[in-house]
Amino acid sequence: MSLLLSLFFFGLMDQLCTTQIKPQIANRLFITNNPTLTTIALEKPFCVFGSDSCSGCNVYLYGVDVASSGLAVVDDNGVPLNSNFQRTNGGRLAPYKVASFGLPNCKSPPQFDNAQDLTQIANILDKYLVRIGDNVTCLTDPNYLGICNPPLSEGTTYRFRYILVNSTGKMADQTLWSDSITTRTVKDMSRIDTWPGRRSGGMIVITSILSVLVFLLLAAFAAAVLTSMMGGSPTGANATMHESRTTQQASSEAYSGVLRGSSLERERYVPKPQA
Amino acid sequence: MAGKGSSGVAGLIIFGNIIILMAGLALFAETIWATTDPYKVYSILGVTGKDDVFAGGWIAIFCGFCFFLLGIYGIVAAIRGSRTMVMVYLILMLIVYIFECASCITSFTHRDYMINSNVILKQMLTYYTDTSTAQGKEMTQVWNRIMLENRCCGISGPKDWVAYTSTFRAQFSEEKAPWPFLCCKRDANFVIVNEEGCRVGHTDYINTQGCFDHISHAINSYTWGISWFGFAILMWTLLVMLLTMYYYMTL
Repeated sequence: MSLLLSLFFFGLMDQLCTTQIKPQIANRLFITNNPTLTTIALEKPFCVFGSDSCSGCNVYLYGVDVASSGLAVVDDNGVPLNSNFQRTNGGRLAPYKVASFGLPNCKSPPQFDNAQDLTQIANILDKYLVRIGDNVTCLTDPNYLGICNPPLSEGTTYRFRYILVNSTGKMADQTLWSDSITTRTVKDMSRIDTWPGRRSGGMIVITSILSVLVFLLLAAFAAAVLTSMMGGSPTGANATMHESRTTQQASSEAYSGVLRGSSLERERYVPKPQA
Repeated sequence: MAGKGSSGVAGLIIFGNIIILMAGLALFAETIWATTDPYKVYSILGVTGKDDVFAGGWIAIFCGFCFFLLGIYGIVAAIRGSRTMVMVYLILMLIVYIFECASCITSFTHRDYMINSNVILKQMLTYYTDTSTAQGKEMTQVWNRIMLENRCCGISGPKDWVAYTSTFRAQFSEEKAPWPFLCCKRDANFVIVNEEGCRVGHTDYINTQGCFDHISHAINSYTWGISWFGFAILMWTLLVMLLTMYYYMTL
């Protein structure tokens, strides 16, 4: 997987046509939970803005709700707007500044092969990802002074754009707006359908066969009892005195039992020779 | 012995009863195993109210032991060739037979309710981290243990926790804990390997596998032991009983 990511990553490096690049959502193989209800993780813009020679440069990330009419992120002089989440109503009115960070170093992109290394994973995630909607407390904290990056709204579609700001505070370069990215919506757990649906084959087999067998057994039992009752008691004094007659009687009883019994009994009993 | 029951049939009955008594003992042992619940999934069934897989198990314990005793009794009855003994054997065996049928059917029917990931999913979302009810506390413990011991997460994976509303979500914000930290990969000492990696859902730091396999495997094992093994014994017992009825008529 890491190899795939690296390939993807270096594929991105090849097409160094700055203005045609869009911010990319972080690879879903690498970061499985993305986008979430309230956050979106983007790749940082590695090798997107031409050279690394830009000293004192910063990258600003702007985000906007797709429903917003305004898309300007710089004023007429090329100075980035200092719009924030609250004033733009969470990006619904105009783009807001999501984050600001130093220009990612094109010469040392994160090595995804090392992601299993515990000493490097935090660094790799930090280097590779910018997580929008990460700061839960900044909206309510009156002492918070930095760029507030509060949770996004669920089920809302956003676009993002990186701009490169040089040391004079003016925009030097920018990417295109990203493809629209929609945060997840949550499903209400009470609407999960718990109907078991079809019965399993095993249950049908067990239930039907056992019902039939119990019926057969009861019928056979009744037949056996009735037969021996109607035939009288062969173990009585009669039987001991007239042994040859009793034998005959017993065998005829067995045959009448066969005739009265169910077909299953018949199959079983007929081939057996009487002793 | 002419006319007083054939010794060949009696021999067959004795052989059949030896099988029954051995199988009965095996069923007895096997259903004790099932009702002791070594996989510890009873609570999951109990909270739903569909715990009759275990009810079937308890009936099967009784029936297994009865089969064992009746097997012995049947052998004695066949050797003695007593009409009364054979009749008593038949009546008792019929009663046990019907009970064992009930056990098989109950167990398998209730298995069908629980081998449905949606039932368990809804239950998990409703009760996990709910500390206000006894069921909630119980289910929280059960799920903590299952996820920790089996290195799995949710029903079909971590996505279950983020795709639905839940008691857990009402208590923990998604940015901080998209899923319980028991879903995070842990080292040999059960210490979370990397919390940040787990939080963003990095595949190296989260258990992506769901727990449903474990739960369904447990329920299926119990049910197969109780229902299918019981069913096999019943098939054999049917033959022996029919033969005994025939034997009774020749006595």
